[in-house]
Amino acid sequence: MPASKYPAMARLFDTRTDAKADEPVVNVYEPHTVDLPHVATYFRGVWERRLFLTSMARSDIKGKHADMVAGQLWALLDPICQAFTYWILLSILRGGGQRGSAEGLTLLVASIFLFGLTRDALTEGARSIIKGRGLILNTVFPRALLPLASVYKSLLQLGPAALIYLIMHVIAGRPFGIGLALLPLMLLLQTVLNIGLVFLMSTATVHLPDMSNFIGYVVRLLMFTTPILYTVEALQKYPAVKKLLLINPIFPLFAGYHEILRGGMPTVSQVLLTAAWATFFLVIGTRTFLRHERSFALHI
Amino acid sequence: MSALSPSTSDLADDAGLSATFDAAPSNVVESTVEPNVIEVENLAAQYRVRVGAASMRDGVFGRFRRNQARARIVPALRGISLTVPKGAVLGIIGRNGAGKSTLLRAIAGIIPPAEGRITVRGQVSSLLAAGIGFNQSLTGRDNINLGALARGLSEERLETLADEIAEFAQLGEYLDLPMRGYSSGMTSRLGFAIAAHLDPEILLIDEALAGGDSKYKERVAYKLWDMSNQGRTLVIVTHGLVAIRSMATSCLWLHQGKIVAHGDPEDVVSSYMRYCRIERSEESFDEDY
Repeated sequence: MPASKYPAMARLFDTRTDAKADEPVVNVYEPHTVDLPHVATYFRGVWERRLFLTSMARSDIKGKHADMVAGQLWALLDPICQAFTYWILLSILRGGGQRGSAEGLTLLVASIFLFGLTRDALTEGARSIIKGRGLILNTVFPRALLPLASVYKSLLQLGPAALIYLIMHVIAGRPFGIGLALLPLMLLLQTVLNIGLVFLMSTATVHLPDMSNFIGYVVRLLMFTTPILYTVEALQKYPAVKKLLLINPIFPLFAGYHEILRGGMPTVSQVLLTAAWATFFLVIGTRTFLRHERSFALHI
Repeated sequence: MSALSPSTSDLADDAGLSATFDAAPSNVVESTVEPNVIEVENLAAQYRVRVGAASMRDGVFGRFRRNQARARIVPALRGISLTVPKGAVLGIIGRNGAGKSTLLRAIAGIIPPAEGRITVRGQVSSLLAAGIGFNQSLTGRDNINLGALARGLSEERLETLADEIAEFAQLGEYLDLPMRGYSSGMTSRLGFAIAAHLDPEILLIDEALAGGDSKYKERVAYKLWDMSNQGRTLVIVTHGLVAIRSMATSCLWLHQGKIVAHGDPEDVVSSYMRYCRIERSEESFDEDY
C-alpha cells in the first residue's frame, strides 16, 4: 500500500517525539497484596502527571455546565444563588432588618462555601474512582490522581464563591483583621483533611457501594454538628452539647474560620486540633488507598 | 463446510483486513536476539461479583443464613503461560467469556493476577473496550488530552496529538463538540486512534476492528501493519478470523479461561473453526465466534 495515499499518516510516523520510548520500561505484575508500594516513588508518579490532575478538574467543571445556556457563567451564578437563598432564609428567620443579621449572613454564607469543600470530598470525591471506571479499566496510572483531582476541582470552584463572599463582606462592612493571614493555613489544613477523607471514602465506596448511599446522611449530620447554621457562642448555653460536638473533626476548623471572618484570630487549640485531625486522616486515608488501589479494577 | 461458509465471509467482511494483509510482507521475528516482551507464567485471574440482598427479608435476615453468598468469585483465567517475542502479532480468539479481555487487562497491568507472574518489557498502550474511558459531556479534544495525560505524555506532544488523532478518526469538526453527540462508530474510531497514536512499544487491542466503514478498516489495517513493521508488538483480541490468519504471527485460542491451543495462526484458526462447526451442529443456533 503506497504511503502517499495517506499523507496524514506518513507525516504522523515521522513525528515521533515521545522521548520516553527510548528508555527500557519493565513491569512485573504479581498477585495483589495489601503491601504498601514505595510511597515516594508513587507520589513522584503522581507529580509527573500533575497536568492530568489539573486538566481533569478543569474539564470536569467545564463539562458540568457544557449543555447549559449560561454555560461557564454558572461557576459565578451558583454561589450567588446559594448566598441569595440563605439571605432569604435568614431574613425570614430573623424577621429582617434586625441588628446582627449582616454578621450572621456573612458568616453563614462563608461557612456554607467552605463546608462545600469537605462536602464535595465526601460525596463527589468518594465516587471519583467509580466515576473514573472507563479510564481505570483502560489505562495504567496512579489511581490517586482521580480523588486528588476532585479535591482540586472543589478548590477551583471556591474561587468564584470567594469573590462573591468578598463583595458581601465589603458591602456588609465586616472587619478585616490580622487573622486573615492565617486563612491560607486553615484552608491548607482543610485541604489536607479533605485529601485524607477522599482517599478513605473512595476506597470504601469501591469495596462497599452502599457507602455512597450512606454518605449523604453523614454529610447532613456533619453539617448540623458544625458551626455553620449557628455560631459557637450560641452553644455556650449548652456546655454538654458543645463538648460533644468537639469530637467532630471540622468543628475546631469552622470555629477558627468564624474567628478570622469576625476580624479575630483562631485560637492555638483550634489550629492544633485541626492539624491533628488533618494529619490523622491523611495518614489513614493514604495508607488505605495505596494498599487497595491495585484491586480497584477488579471491583468496579 | 456449507454451514460455515456464509459466516466466514461475514467475518472477512467484518474484519476488512484480508485485502490489505495478503499483500503485506510477513513479519520477521528475531526472537533469539531480543528477549520476549511479554512473559506470562502460570497466570490465574479472578473477578469478584458482589450480590446485594435481593429482597428486604434477605437484607434483614440474610446474614444469618450460611448459604447466603454475598460475593461470588468468578475465575476468569487459569494456568495461562505464554511468551510474546518483540515485533510479534499475537491474535487471541475464543468465544465470549473465554477470558480474552481479562488476559489483555492483566498484561496491561490493570488487574492484578490471582496467581502467577507477568513480565512486560516496553511501554504499553491499550484499547481494551471500545467506547469506554471517555467522559461523554467533554469534547473529543478534551478526552484525547485527558487520556494522553493519564498515560504520562508530555505537554508539547499534546499540541499536535489531538489534531493527528482527529484526522485519523475522521472526526472533522466534531473534535470540538461534546462526545454525547458522537455516533458509536465515531466513538470506537476515536478509541482506536488514541491507542494507536500514543507511540506504544506494545499495543493491546480488544475488538477495535469492529465499527467503521470498510475504508476506515483499511486505514486501521494499514496502521497496524505499519506499527508491526516498526517492530512494535501487537496483541489483538478479535472475532475476525480472517484478520488473524492474514496478520498474526501466532494465535492463542482461549476457552473458559484456559489455553486450548497456541501456535501457528493457520492451524489454530482451522481447529477453532472445526470446533465451532461441531458446536454449531449440536446447539440450535449460535452467533458466538
